[in-house]
Amino acid sequence: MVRVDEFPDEFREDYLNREMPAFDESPFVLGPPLAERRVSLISTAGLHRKGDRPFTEESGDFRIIPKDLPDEDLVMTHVSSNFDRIGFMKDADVAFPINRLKELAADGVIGGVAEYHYSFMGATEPDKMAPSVAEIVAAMKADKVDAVMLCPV
Amino acid sequence: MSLVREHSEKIKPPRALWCGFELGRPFGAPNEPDFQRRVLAEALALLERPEGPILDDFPDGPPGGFTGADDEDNEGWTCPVNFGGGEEPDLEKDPAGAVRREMALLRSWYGLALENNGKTMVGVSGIGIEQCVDYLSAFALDPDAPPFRTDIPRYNFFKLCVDDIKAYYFEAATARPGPATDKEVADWYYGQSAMGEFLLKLNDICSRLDDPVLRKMSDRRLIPVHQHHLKS
Repeated sequence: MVRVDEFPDEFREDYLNREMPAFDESPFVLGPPLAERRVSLISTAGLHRKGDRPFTEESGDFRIIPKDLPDEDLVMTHVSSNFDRIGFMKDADVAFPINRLKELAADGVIGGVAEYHYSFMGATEPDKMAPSVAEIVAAMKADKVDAVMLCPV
Repeated sequence: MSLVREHSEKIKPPRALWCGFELGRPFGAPNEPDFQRRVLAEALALLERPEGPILDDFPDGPPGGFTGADDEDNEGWTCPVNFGGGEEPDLEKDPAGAVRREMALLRSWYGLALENNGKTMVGVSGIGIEQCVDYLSAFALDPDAPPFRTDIPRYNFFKLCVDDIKAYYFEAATARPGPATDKEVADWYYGQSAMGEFLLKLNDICSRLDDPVLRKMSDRRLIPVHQHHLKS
């Protein structure tokens, strides 16, 4: 089990009190009904295609994960040892629910699944990811994405 | 999705669904597609809410509860192999031999895991698992031993070797059906295997190196925080 409340005291306090990015306002936009939205996933689990570059310490870069990548070709090179990987070993959807997303699209709950999805390695200063985000936004616009699910680990 | 409510309270994203699941399992539990779909649908449904910021709480824990051990219907995870007995190579003199012996004992369980999971996380180092053992054992003798890959930083290659071996042990150890938690398997891996003992030694070496990244990794990258009591 890796729950924050089970971390030893000093680490738990450090983790919970970690400085977070502060924003003056919380942007809030409305959009089309969910059943018309094309959804993309962004994971911070350090996921990528087998054979793609592994993630490095403090990196703010990202990897592209195509919609139809076979489950067995998705691997994880997150630098942290402090979260569970057994779940992902058995079933990638526990962290990156691409198959569940396709099912929701087939059932008409969402409009569709984006062609491309993305992963960062989350143990990084948020500022370092900012340039990558601009790139992803451009790619998502081209992919007609209008809903994004951020999936942490 | 939010796994740490305290963090989401500070960041105030426009829409978030907090789930009290284990870190690493934002959609609850593996091989529970109905539950995963429910979590995903509930999070996506926040998109239709007209006002925010929203930080909702998902009402349920993952199927099967958090620990196998606390569940009356389940006796908890136990290691499928016994490393004791037989001729055990001396870890100090021959760490590679000691680790290889354990890996041989785990091999048929690893094969079963491969069959059941239909995939493996072993292989991220880009070299064979035997070579991962060779490199770590060379590193223990001399941290400047040449890494087997030069296209990535040394610390990165070192960590990927560590991760490949850990994945091998963890996949083999959880090949049998039934829930297994990270803490249960980690208690065994770091506390009872020769590889765990070897990792503690490698961690100690890293903590004394001039290389700032490897030194920093010895804080909590190589040994999880819930195993820090094992560090010397």
